[in-house]
Amino acid sequence: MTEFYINSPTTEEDVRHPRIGDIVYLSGIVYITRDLSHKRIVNLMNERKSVPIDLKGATIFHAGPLVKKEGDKWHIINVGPTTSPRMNPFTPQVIEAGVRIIAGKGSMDDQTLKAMETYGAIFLGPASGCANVHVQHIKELVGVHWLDLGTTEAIWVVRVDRWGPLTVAMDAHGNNLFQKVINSAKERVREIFG
Amino acid sequence: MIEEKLVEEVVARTFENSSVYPAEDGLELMQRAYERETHDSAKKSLGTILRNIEIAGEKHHTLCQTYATPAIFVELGTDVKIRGDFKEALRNGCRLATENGFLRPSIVEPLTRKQIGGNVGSHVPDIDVEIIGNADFLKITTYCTTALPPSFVEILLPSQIGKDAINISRMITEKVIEGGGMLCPPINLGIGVGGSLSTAAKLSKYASLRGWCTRNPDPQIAQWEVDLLGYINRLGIGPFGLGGDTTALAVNIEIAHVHSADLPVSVEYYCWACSLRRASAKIDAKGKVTYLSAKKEMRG
Repeated sequence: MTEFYINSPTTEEDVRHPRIGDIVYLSGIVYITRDLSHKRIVNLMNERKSVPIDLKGATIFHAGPLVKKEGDKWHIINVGPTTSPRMNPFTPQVIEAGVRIIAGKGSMDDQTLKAMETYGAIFLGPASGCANVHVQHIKELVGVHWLDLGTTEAIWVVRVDRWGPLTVAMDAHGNNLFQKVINSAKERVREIFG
Repeated sequence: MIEEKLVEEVVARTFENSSVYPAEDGLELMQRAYERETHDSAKKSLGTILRNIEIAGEKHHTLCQTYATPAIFVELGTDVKIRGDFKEALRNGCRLATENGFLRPSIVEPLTRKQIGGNVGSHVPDIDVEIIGNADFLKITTYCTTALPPSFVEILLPSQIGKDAINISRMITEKVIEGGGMLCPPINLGIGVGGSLSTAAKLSKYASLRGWCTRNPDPQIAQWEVDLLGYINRLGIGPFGLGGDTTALAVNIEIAHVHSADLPVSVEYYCWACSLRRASAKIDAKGKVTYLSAKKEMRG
């Protein structure tokens, strides 16, 4: 298990090094996005229109934060990963557009894994359910886009500092840790029950 | 005499406690698992969970952003008198805890999936009342119930049980693989076996109420709990599905006698956070409130 400190936005070289099971600590800009914002991003890209965030080398965090507004200022109370496979239909396209790091919960599909291998991207697993830990690494709320989707579904732009430990669950070489664990568990079932 | 308003306040405060502070039996199992875990990355994951629990307590924030489906278990002494609308008071307590930011408004209409704007709707919160004879107290426990996939109810034929219920154990163990990282392991299991379909489902929900460190009083069932936990932890799925020794912390099984023709089996898989969500309060006949299994810092 090797530990990597990566800055976001990042490069292909940075994400080609880590392998499944390694640990990443991430600093820099992270886009918190989930279902509806993904759908809108992909629709805009299909219509060849611009999106309000720069996807080149970007990090996407699949989550919907708990937020509150004081005066004109938004605050993120806490934020934890949501179920990533829901974003399967959109992810190969955002990876092709330049996204290098995705953080979320649960395994994504083979098309996503293939896109990660082809274009150079990794999937990181932040600790599930640990919303209070993750928010401590958010040093600045940089901005928010598409509040018309609701606060849970909007894109929140944050600056994080040494966010981690984040386990590399899918790497840029076609390896999927979730799948490896599942395959081994199926063998154990045969050992236990015959 | 217990006033409606008091019930409402106590329910809200108990939900707040179960949202912010972990049930101590579940926390103890998590700490033991952290000490035992032999995989470096899995140990780090368990350490992160323990740190998250600590921060939630310090900041008085909910443990995890979601609370699954809020549930209330009421033990009602027959010598207690309550003035006002008791059922509405229980529901209002849940409403108040939501307004106070301790239960995320997660409940929607079943088919349209439209948000109802809170956590109080048809059959939500999930309320059960047990009548206690010759008792002059009211005890309220708030916890959460789940439908976290692949939780299930299955009606088996007697021929499908197998020696020492091995086929049931296999079915429950294989579903843990199906859930993988989506279950947010380490998980706990509440299992109901026997009765009718609804009895089995109810027992799987009640199974979490006895606390995760207490085994079933029937030695045969207690052994089944230990064996099943052992099978699940041999899978190597680990915290968050990323590998490790710790996949589950406890298995609680409740049984009911059953018709000779069939065997309902109901299994609720609890993510790590939902496993820890349980708090109680007791109100005596004069309205004196005691918050139970309270930690020192627990609000009361």
